[in-house]
Amino acid sequence: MARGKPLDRGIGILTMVSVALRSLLLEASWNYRGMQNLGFCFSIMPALKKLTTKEALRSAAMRHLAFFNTNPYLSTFVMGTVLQAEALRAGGQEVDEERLSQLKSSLGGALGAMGDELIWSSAKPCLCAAAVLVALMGHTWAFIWLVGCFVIINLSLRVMGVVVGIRGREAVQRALESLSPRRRSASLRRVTCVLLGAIVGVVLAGGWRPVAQSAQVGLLTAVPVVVVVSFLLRGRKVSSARIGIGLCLVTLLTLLLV
Amino acid sequence: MLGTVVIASLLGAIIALDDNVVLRVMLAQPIACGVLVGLVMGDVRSGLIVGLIFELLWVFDIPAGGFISQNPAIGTAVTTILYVLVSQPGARPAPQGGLALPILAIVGIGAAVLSVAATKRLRHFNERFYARAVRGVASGRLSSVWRNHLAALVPMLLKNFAIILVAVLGTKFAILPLVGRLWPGSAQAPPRVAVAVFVAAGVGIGLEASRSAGWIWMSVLSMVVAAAIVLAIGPGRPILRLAAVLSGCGIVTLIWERTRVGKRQASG
Repeated sequence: MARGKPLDRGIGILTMVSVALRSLLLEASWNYRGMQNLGFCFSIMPALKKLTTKEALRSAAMRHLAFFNTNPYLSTFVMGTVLQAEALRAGGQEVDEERLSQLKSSLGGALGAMGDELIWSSAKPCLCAAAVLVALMGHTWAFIWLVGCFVIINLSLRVMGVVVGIRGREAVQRALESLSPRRRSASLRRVTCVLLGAIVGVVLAGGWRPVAQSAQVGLLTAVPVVVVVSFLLRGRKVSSARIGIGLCLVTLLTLLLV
Repeated sequence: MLGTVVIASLLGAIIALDDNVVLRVMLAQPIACGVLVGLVMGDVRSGLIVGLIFELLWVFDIPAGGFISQNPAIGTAVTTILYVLVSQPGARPAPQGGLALPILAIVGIGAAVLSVAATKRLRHFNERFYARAVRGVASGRLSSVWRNHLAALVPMLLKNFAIILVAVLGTKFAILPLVGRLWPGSAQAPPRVAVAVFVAAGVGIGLEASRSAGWIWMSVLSMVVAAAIVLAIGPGRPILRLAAVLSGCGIVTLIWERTRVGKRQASG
């Protein structure tokens, strides 16, 4: 597979960007039978139109309405790889349908796991914690910074996914290795822990005006509770909603009784 | 006021789509949703308070794949709208201050939990759009792909809107008057409640942080450093404080990584 020739498959850069932008709506029709299948077909449709004849387009669309699921941020890597296979087919080469379907599911599964680890478990908490810290220091519009960061991450990963994916599976592998997801996610998690600690510290020191006067005593009592309860509940899957409702109820009860 | 509530609910419903349906640019995070809904309601500060509390609560939630987590934007929109309504001077029914925030937080979290069940049902309903798209393509109508794909957004938007509006109106006209009647003196001492809820959220932070990584001591260390920096710099000069706290956090990370425990955690 020629490396560095992404545009020789008959798909121009505008079509690639169109695929990337359409992938922002990947999960609009998420369903339990095909998961992101309709979104996948919808996203790659402009490229399929360029690659295949009108007659072949129908069967190509049917092929890509099959089951598909992956991490939305990295979905375009699979789309690019599939488009490369479709381009080869359009060029007269034999492409086994069974292999194409296997490629979609295996690449989708691997990218799903990687994306969940890198984006959901690491980058999202880290950037959200940073935005909270910035907001606590008096910057009401800190969320613009958070959303801006994610727009950049989102769009760059999606465009990069199509451009790299169309060069073939090996190119995808190299690109993902260069992202070094495991190392990055470990670093991001460490930074998140530090930021979360700093958030409590800022409030403790009276850095947040709405609760500046009376928060310190409350938080001084809360810190040992945080440490003890954290160690007790470590490793158990307790949802945030349950924790939140439980804590609100305890708060209410305390206030009513005092 | 009802018109503003409807517009704010609609905005919350649109923002909530960002959580697990379209875009995924973190607009559905409470810190963004709270401020935007607060802006429409005419009280950005209340929106920020609700947003910050909920952000800490949901910071580690993962809305990925087949797993449906509570939609934080729905919870934030409900609580923000109600909190702005009860915070207005002379607002009736009570409680305006006192118990308002924890009660409204429970209502908001409840609405977010309800959204999980509703989203599950809608994802089953989406199978109809999929079946229709397949039938359309089989009969040569390729436009049925985008039509059915985008049509699925409508029920999802309506679902979000209905949950927010029903939760807001139900609480405003049923739950709050009842609370006001049961505890007539509940409008007293608003800071205590805000503090208590924030402390509760703080406990949530600790739980989530330790669950994800087990680096609780690093958090405690950075907490002490941040508190010391804020106390040393004092009020005002927000940019300097922010820069100092962020630098302090960076130094804590670097120092921690050089300790024996930090090295072991990094390699593990």
